[in-house]
Parts: sequence; C-alpha cells; structure tokens
Amino acid sequence: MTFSPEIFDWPASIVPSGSVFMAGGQARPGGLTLTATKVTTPEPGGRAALRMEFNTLKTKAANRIYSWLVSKMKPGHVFRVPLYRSDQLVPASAFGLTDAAVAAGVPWEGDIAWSGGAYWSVSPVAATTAAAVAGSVTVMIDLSAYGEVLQHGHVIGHMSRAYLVEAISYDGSDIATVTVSPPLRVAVNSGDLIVFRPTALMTAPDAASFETLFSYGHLVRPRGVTLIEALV
Amino acid sequence: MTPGFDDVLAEYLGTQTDAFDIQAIVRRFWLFDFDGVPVRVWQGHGPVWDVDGTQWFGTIDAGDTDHLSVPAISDGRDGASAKLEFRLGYLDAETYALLKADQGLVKGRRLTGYAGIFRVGEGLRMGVALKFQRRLTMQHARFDEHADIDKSGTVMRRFSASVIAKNDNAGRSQAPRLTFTPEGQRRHAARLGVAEDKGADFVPALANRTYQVTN
Repeated sequence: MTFSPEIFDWPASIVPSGSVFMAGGQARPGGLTLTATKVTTPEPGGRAALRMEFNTLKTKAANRIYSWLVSKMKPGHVFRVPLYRSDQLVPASAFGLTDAAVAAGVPWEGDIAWSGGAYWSVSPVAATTAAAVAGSVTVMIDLSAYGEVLQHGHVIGHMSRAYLVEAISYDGSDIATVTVSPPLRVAVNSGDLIVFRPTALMTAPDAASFETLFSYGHLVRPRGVTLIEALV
Repeated sequence: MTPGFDDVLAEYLGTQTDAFDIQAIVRRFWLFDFDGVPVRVWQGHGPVWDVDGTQWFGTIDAGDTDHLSVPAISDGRDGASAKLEFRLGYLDAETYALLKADQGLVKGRRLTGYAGIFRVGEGLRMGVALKFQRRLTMQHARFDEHADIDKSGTVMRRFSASVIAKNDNAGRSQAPRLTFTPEGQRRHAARLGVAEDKGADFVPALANRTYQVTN
C-alpha cells in the first residue's frame, strides 16, 4: 500500500497583498583560500520558497476560513498554493487576453457556467517538445503560438510544481530552451503542458508567523508567512 | 568520457594565482550497507541521482534540519579507533523492522562515505561519479521507536536508528602478538613449504645496541 499524502488547496478567499516566489539554493560559506578568495558552496537543488503578506480580511466567511487555515498550517500539512497576480507570471496580454476576459473566466462548451454560477479560471498553457527526467534542469517548450513571451524571472508550473525561469533561449521557430530552478521534481514527458498560472506544493515550517488574534471590534489581518516547497 | 571528481574539483579551484571567488559544490554521501537493505543518503535536500542512476535520499528537511547526525571522524593514522555514532533520525518502518529483527544485518557491514561534486546545469542528476572518502565497519545498531504527539493531536510513530561504526583500526590490540626470532621465522617458513628463511636473522643483532646521533 503506497502512502498518498493529503494535500489541501489554499483557500480562495485568503489572497495575499503581495508575494514573491524564490527558487531554492542557499549558499553556505566555506572559508578563504590562500589568495584570500572566498569559497562558498551553494545548495544543490534546494527548496523553493514563497513569501506572502496579507491585507485585512473583509468578510466573516474569510475570517472563518482563516481560522481553519491557521490551524491546518501548523502540523506541516502540504498546500497547493496558486501564485497570485504579479509580474512573476507571464501577463495575460501576452496570450491575447484582456483583464476583463480573465476576470470573467472560461465557460463550459455552449457558454454554460458551473451550477454555482462560476466559470473556469483562465489557465494559459504551452506544450513541451522533449522529455526531461526528474532532477534535471532543462525543459524545451513550444511557444510558437505566443511568441517570445516567456522571459527570465517568470515562474511556470508543471504538475502542481512551480519553477523559476533561470535562463531561456529561443530558436528560430520560438521553441524555448528553459533552465529552471529548482530542478524538475517530476519527470516531464514530451507533450506535457506547462502552465503559466502555476500552483506550488508548499508547507509552512514556521507556521507561527501566520498567526494573528481575533479581537473584538477589529478586522483580522493575517501576518506574513514564508512557505517552503514540499517534496511530495 | 565523464570527468573524474578530482578533475572537476581542480577546475573549480583554479590555479594558485587565480583571484576569483570559488563556488565548489561538494556534498557528503553515505552508504549504510545493511545486509539486503542498503540505505543511501546524502546531506542535502531531496533525492539525487548519481551517474549510475541510483537514487540517494536527502537528509535535510524543509526547516533546514539535517536528520543524519555524523560525528567528527578522526584520522585513523594515530592508531586510534574511536566509536563513531551515526544517527538516522527517520527510518521507514520496513527497514527499521528488518534491522531490529536481525542485528546480523548490521554487524560487520560496511559504512562507506563518499564525496559528490555537482556541476552547474546538472540539477540533481550528477554527471561526475562519487569519490570514495572513507570506509567504516558497523558494529551494531541501537533503535529508538516512539510516538510523537504534536499540539494538534496528530500521533506520529517515529523510527530512528543509531549505528556505531569503527574504522579499520578496530580490534588491532586483540591481534595475536608476534615476536620475530630466526627460529620462529624458519619454523613458520617450513610450515609454508619454504626450506630456509634467513629473513629474521638480523633481529638478535639489534639487541643491546647503542646508537649515537652526531651533528
């Protein structure tokens, strides 16, 4: 019997006011050589980190969800956290979408919404053109439909893992060779979809930083938290 | 042809007159060769694949805690054989049960330490073979099994093992003593089929000699 870890989706009502996704790899100091040059040793692989800060929560429902979330974070549960709107993501205009179209969402075929009235969220994708094993750092993505929209510093996703574009080069037909960080956690097959609105599997080793008090007559403002990539 | 560890390390370190900051990425790898259930770990984050495609498991967690504790390993050239205790903070239940059931899986088995060098652009798929660093012999293992209850009430069973290892100097003082005499040497040689062995004839001449060192 294989163990499947329980993964929670980050609640949609707890949206950060600001976030930054950082790829892993701290450097550890190693000393000085005889010529007084510094020796450092970076972490191979390492773990990605996502730092988020929050505004006050506006509704009672959101407060209640915060109450659930702050307790769920402490035992080290794994969350699937979407990366929210920021310049770390390829902008919607690159895919020919307007902000209004993104806000409206995508309906089912025949312009039908879900029973609750919501639509699918927009998720632009591009296909890979070559396989890559887990642990490697190079992915080939076919961006001919969009042009050279993916650049250094953007964050892309594959199979619920988020990766930072460390280096990228395009060939004549807009097939990009991308170097990602952290290294691929799951093997990529040729034709797999890379998403431009990624989610990341994260855990909170320092969940106490997210705590804040519910006080009478005050709005709840969750404090910042740094989530660390969970290797699941 | 894949380069060797020393070649790659030499490339990183440059020459004596180079004056740039050095970023050599070398990590320790440990193979606990328990009989039938070898445990391969490295001191880093996540799994790593070596040149043969074998997976080594990282011992450092998301909170930057290394769950393998490695003692300071003394140089064996002074003849000492310190008792070195390696502690594996977390073991899977199957390996734990196997080791605990049969100490024979541990006693006398090898604990080998390697150094692995990572090159830029390789990610976690190593392109350079691991370099042998040291070899110790495991003596026995101590086991620890307890249930942790955290603040939210989640109960977790935790298995950990400590392995006591010694270097190859272990047991030297128990070796049978030898005294070199010409007769003993001849007797020993005759047993091995050699007729005449004058190899130890110089030994009696060494007794009661005075040596003077003049400058």
